[in-house]
Formats: sequence, structure tokens, C-alpha cells
Amino acid sequence: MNTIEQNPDVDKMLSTFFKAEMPVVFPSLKLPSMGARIDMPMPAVSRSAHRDGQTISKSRLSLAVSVALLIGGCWYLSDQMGNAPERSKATKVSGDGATMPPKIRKAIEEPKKASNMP
Amino acid sequence: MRKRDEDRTMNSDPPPAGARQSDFEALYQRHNREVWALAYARWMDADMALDIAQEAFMRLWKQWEAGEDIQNPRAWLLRVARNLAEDYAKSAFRRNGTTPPQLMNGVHSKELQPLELLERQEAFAQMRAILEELPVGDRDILTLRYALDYDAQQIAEILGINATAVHMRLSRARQRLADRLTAQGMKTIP
Repeated sequence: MNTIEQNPDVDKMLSTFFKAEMPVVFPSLKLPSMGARIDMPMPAVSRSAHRDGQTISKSRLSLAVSVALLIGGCWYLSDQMGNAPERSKATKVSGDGATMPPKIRKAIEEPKKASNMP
Repeated sequence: MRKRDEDRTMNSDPPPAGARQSDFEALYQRHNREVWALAYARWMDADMALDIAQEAFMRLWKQWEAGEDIQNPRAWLLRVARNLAEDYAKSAFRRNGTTPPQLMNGVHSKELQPLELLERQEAFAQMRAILEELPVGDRDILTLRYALDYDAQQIAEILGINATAVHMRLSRARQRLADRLTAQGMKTIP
């Protein structure tokens, strides 16, 4: 019952094919050594520095300085803007949209006042 | 039968470390072909089957290292190899495919291949294509039969079916194969 009927041509071809496909020599398994632990890759930081907390404090300090500079810079700039000298207030002279600096206007108006005096 | 008994009792009483390693290497030598054959039957790719076989054995080793009690390492290996072969179908590598090394970047091998070897490779490719059209179950049987020269009883034992089913499926698979080979005018492999 266990014998398998043969079909010479197909059998030969299949046998040739499968035997050629199968590796002649199986590569030996490289087993990890007994009890060896696989270390997980760690960041490139020295353990002593990490243990002292120096690395953490440095990074936190850098972050704090950066944030302080950012906030300070914004505050300084906005303060500068607030204290900036007021733009010369040009005064409208007539209804046609023409403007005149206050000094000139004053100079023009003063003789008028003088002439109005009795 | 004796081989199966050896497998079953292998882990019942853990031997010392060195002995365990030599036991494992013996197990590898005994079953690597079967594990390879099942992985090969799934995808018809010899190199990939070798990778899968090695991975299955590595996983078994890790189980041993973790202290798992595997009663039947042979059955465990065959099951894991099948699962790995199935998982391979879902991998990006399989989906995207690859190019034969000699054609990569349009660079051809400097070595000219003998005509006979080319003819043989062509016949193998033809045979592989025909085999790929067969159901996986039939390929399992054909691979175990022709790569390992297993008889119906041994094949039935590995696949968990009865010997009569092996005979029937093998006969049908061969007939289908013969028809297709004839249709393609392939009479022999050089």
C-alpha cells in the first residue's frame, strides 16, 4: 500500500527538479551562546553621565535658556514698539485730503491770530 | 517510530547546557530537510525556504532557552515553518517582489553560462511555473515524495492525512503535471 506507482518520465523529471532545488548542504545553525543576553541598542550616552543626571540637567538648561531668550526677545521687541516716538501727526488743512505738519500749521496760524488782535 | 520517541523525550528531563546544544544540533540535522521541504512547497523558492527553516529552528532554540517544554519538536518545527511561510505572503518583500541578482540595475553577470545550464534553468523555471499552479497540498506531497524520497506512510504522518489520500492526491498531481508538461512540449530535463 505504501509503494507509490511510478510514471517513469514524470517521476524522473520531478526527482531531478526537486533534488536540484534542495540545498546539498544545509548551513550550520549559529546558535546564540547559552545564557547570553542580547543587549538592546542604547543611545550614545555615557552611563556615568546619565547616572549623575548631568545630561538631563544640561538638556533642560538648554531648553530653559532657549525659551527664556524667545520670550525675552519678544517682550523686548514689543516694548521697543510701544516706546517708539509717535509718528508726526500731520494735520488736515482742508477737506480735499491735503495734510500739513503741525510746525508749519502753527507758523501759519500765529500771524493770523496776531492780525485779529485789536 | 524510534525517531519520534527520541524527539518526544528530548525535553522531558533538561540535560546540561553543552548536551542541550549538541542535542539541538542533532535535531537540526535530522529535521532540517523536512522543514525546508514544507517551506519550499509553499512558495517554490529554495533560498527563502532555507531562511524559513533556519528561522523555525532558531525559534525552537529560543523556546528551549526560555525553558518551554516542547513535547514533539518535529511537529512544532513543521507547524512553525508553515506559519512562517504563510506570514511571508503578507510581507512587503513578497508583495513588491524582487529581481534576480544577475538582472539588478541592468548589470549582467560577467560569466557566460553554458548552454546546457541555461536549458536546464529554463526547464526548471517551466516546471516551477507548472507546480505553482497546483494546490499547495499537492505541492507538499510532491516535495516530500521527490525531494526527500518519502513513501506514502511517511508523507501521511507529516501532513496528518491517511496514506490512501496521499496516493490519490499524488496520482492526480502527477497526472495534471504530465498533461501540462506534454502540452508545453517538455519531455525531459537536460
